[in-house]
Amino acid sequence: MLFGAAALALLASNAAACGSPPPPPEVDELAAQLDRARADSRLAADAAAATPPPPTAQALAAVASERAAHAQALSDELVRIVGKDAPTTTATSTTAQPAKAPTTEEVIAALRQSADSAGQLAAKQSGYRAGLLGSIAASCTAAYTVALVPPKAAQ
Amino acid sequence: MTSPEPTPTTTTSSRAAEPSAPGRPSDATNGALFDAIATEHATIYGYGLVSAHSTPDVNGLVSAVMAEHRDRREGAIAILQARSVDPPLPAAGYQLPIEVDNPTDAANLAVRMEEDAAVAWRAVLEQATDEQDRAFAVTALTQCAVAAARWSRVLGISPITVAFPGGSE
Repeated sequence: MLFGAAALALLASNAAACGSPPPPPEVDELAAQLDRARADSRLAADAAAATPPPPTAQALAAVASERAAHAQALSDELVRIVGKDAPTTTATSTTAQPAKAPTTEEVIAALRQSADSAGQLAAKQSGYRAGLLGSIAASCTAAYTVALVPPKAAQ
Repeated sequence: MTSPEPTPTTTTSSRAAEPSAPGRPSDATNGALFDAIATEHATIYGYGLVSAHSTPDVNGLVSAVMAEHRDRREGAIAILQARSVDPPLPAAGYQLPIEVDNPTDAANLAVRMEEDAAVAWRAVLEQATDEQDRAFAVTALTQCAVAAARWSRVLGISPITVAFPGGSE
């Protein structure tokens, strides 16, 4: 009885603190996708800056720009759901510079995880969100299976 | 996109007596699947021409991608038939979006067809209400994007990938 009242009070104070209904559950999942897109974009840009052979550098730059486009589309979708700006996590990135530049293999591994994660979420979501996540998964897969693999091995 | 040849507007009794082709289902999911199967029919037809005009060094790519489209078409037809929905029939011929006379035209047509197929499968992904249908569509969309990237590499395009395969973002 006492516990119940305390829990109710806690809920009430939470609701009061937020001043709005709790965000829909897909917000967290989309925010995680947004973080992945931003992280991949930075990783690919850092790897491209480490002067790999020109074709790889171009492919890495394309990945950086595509993942940035994914981040923008996910952020737009989050804004549409919650009605305000999506949380930014970019502030933390400036403090810690990587000790050494990431390799193309690390970018491939990150994209593989991102593709799996976006593809699985796409099947669970519906409508436009499912479509967006599916395109993101497809883009990441094409990048790590074709664009970042030297031509002879890819054919 | 690759579209069926316009049907001759004859009113002969023999044509009228032919069984009518299955119509597009009104249900959103099945309608999108129906469209995607029709797109796969056209794509498989188009790959016949791609195959005819390609150089031997892309034989492996042509046969791998064609097999993927065939498997996907059969898989999608099975999904509709399991729901007692008649899938679309292949057309007798298709009007191609570009003329194909050489290996470059062939690769361009292949990229174009993969892009069209990606659009069709993203539509299925957005219209589907069933998680399994969506998973099927994600795989299809992904394979189309990978195939488009491989053909773009053949063409020497850079970059060979796009941010939103099948999408207009």
